[in-house]
Amino acid sequence: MKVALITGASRGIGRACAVRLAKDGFTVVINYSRSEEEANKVLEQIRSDGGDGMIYKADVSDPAQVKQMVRDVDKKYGQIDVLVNNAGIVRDSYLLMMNNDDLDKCFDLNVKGYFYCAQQVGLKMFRRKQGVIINMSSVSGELALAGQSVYSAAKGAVNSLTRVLAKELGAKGIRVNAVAPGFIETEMINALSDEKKEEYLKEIPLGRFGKAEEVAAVVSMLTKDELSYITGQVITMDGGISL
Amino acid sequence: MADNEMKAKLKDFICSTLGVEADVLEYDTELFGDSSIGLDSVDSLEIISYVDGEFGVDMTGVDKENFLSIDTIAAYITANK
Repeated sequence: MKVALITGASRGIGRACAVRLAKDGFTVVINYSRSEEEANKVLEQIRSDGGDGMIYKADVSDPAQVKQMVRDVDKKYGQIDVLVNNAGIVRDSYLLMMNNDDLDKCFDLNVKGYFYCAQQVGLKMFRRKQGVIINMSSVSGELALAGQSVYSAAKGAVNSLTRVLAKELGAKGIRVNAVAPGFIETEMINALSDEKKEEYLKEIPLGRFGKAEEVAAVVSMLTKDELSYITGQVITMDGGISL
Repeated sequence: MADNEMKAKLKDFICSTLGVEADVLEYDTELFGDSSIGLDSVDSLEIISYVDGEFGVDMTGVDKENFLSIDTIAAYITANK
């Protein structure tokens, strides 16, 4: 049995990753912070597909909750093979309109939360000298979009974190990579006006938004032994928008 | 677990995993930096991982002074168990 812990897995890309890794044979831990009902729906879907797992409520921006979650999962299953750091929020705002609360929330969850989870799960992986950590980044980590200074800075930090952890943990059998999606059909995109969607679509060479399942397919690929020579990389999948 | 038993386990681990000769390692011997033992930061990760697995005590993010010697590591474990 292999175990995958996915943060922010009750919705969107995290949900797709949970469903995909369960199909790959992982026992999946669906972390969520608020939407228990949605998390349970993910678990139900996984079970109806023949897989298994559990839901776990924890705010990953709180190091004490992360520590408890990782300890409980390790105690229940005896190992964690894959961590997908996915929980995140977007707080877009132009510089002069940005407020400190949004800045703190974005960095607490999108950056510090990744550190906390990598540290605690890394500790367990270190013991077994094997494991895979996948950080959900964004094309915004490299691409400059006006109004996204906070999110871009956070995802740029995630990319740097990915490379440094790959170097620190590589000799211990732990691979660390990131996936940087472009515009993916999630609630965030669905909430945009049709005009805004058209505006973004014009910038995407493939002429469409990506699907959460396509992101999950890349995550799945990075967990596989046959690709175990890849570490410290940020895999961009954005329909060509960053070209 | 008695203090001495804990320290003996730590010493066994440091000798067997980190390649330190048992006859130069006392419980109060300085482990890191310019000491005769000269463990490095990667070795401290091994110790953190061992302490977590063996004693169930998390030493991630703990001040370096707790890693000075087997005595200080054991004291931290006892205080946080």
